Amino acid sequence: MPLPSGLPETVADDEPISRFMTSKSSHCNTTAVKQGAFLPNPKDGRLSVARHGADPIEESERMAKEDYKLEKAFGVALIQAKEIRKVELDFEADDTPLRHADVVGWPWREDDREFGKAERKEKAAALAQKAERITF
Amino acid sequence: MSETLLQPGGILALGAGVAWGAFALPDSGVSPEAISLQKSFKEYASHLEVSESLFGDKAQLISHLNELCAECSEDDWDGYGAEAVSDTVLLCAETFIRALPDGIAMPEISAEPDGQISFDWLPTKTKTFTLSVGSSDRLAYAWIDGSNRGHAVDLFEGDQLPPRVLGELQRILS
Repeated sequence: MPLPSGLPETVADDEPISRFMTSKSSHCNTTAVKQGAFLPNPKDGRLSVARHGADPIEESERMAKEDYKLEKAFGVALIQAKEIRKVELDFEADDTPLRHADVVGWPWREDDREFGKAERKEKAAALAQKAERITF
Repeated sequence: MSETLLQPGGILALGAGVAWGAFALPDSGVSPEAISLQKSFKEYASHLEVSESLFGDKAQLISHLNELCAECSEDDWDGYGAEAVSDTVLLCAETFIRALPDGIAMPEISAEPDGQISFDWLPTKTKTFTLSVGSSDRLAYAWIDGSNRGHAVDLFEGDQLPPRVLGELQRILS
């Protein structure tokens, strides 16, 4: 059954995925995406993304600022869904706001927080290397 | 330069330079002692220039760190609910910068959603070394070198980088 956006509930491997970048110092440099752009929120352990490419880029900007309420957004780190699955992460698509999904399955270790952080950094760095930096 | 001159050693070095310049003009020394002294001063001045240059890079990075922490001093600095970077984390990150060995390329710095500071070396498109400094004395880090990648945690005692961190970093930068 399709979601309200018309997208299927399961994210396809070839779907483009956008992570809206909101910090020029922490999410990228002048040419590359940094691992910080792909680290999950420590409060819920999820990485918020949009199931959308960057074409047209004006629509990405509108989505980021109006639908996702990310006033500081200045661009996207664009990646294919299959790259996220290659590092043993997956998606939960909730379509709230439209086209929204969370990247889930991040390692967390209550007995050794730093080790869990190191594991997450490795995955985030792998994603950053595969991502394309596109600014509005 | 100005920051080095504020150091006690820097003032002393400037004083020595001025004093030397006042009585030892080029080619004016005639005794073997004067020639030897002139040679020693040139070596010292050369060493001082190298030290200033390295300290300058670290000073610049510390200045950037302070700007970054000011930008990220309140919760939700990224719009996704990130935690603020605390003064404790700032001090730990500054200590880490001071412990970077001479000759290592300066990293890029970022704030992370859990309020830690990340030190990132991105020498090529396929090589990454990233290390987080938080308020604990344990450093979480990860690296990617082509198809090889890994992660680890090491204890940081504040004066020098753990040998394993330094080894992995040097390998990625080589």
